[in-house]
Amino acid sequence: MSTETNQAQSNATDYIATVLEKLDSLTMHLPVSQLLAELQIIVERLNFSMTHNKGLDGDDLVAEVDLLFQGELNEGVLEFVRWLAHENKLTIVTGRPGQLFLDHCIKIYDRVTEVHFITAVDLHENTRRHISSRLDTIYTEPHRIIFDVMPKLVAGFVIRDGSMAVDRSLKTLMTRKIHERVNRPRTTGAIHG
Amino acid sequence: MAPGLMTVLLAIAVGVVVLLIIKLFFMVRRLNASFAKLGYVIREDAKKYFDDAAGKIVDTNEQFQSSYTQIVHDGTISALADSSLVMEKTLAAAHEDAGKVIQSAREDAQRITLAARQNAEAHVHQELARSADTIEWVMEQYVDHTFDRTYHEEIINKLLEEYINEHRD
Repeated sequence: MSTETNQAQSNATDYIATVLEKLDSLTMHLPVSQLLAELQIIVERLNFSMTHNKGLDGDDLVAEVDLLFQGELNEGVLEFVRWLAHENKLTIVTGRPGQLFLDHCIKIYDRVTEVHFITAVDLHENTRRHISSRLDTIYTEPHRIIFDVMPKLVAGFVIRDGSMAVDRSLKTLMTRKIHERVNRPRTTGAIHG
Repeated sequence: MAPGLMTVLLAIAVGVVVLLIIKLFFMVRRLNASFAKLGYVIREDAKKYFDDAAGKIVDTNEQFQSSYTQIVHDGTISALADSSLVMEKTLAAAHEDAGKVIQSAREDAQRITLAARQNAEAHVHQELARSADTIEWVMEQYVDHTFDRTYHEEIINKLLEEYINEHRD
């Protein structure tokens, strides 16, 4: 009996880990607050909807999910719900298990540091991945890199992780250089030309 | 009458006249001497009298001078004492007034200087911010027009590597 219980617990842990891994991979650049808010929407709506669509499965369920959430969720989160529907795992975000899953996510993501990588232009996915991997060497604690676009930076980047900011933008560089140039002591008697 | 008698009588008469003349001469001389003596006495007396009078006048004058000097001295001291008291009060009031005026002027000057400095600094900052905005706008236009996404990404990767290397150090 005990062996069976342990086995069941192990399976449940693996199951949750698989789901969380998928969630992480699809929403790795989404802010934690937005992710949790959208997970809450999913749990609430599916709780109401699944009571009326109990017989659905496979592609029909994916179509139902699209109908419920398209245009209201981030593309990554929507893809996660589609995956759950396709794998017939929507029960984890429905009803009582859904509430527990949401609580679990809140506990997990509470420890995650949000690192905002702000650039002047939207970056290609490959570049994002490269930047994430490079930043992993600096941020060893659980974290997620969130890519934001701020055209005012002109070029370069700014990193903000809540405790510090690294500014390597052309805008800041220009402002600093202008001040340096203006405040530089003038040399008298210089011969120009 | 005999001529001889007449002559004798005449001679006697002449002699008497001569004697009278001589006597008169001596009397005149004696009188002259008496007058001279009398004049000397009178002159000496007058001299003595005037000397005494002059001495009295000098004494009186000296006493008067002395008391006058004392009066003037006392009056001066009293006047100076009063004057110094009044002067002291006046000077203290004037000093206080002058202190207030100077303090006020100094505060005004400090306020004016500070305001002028702040104004100048604000003006400089404003001009710098405006210049920076202009340059930023020009750069934005230039970069937007000239840099494609690949170029942006190359710059970002380069800057990121620099940052990671600095962080590692």
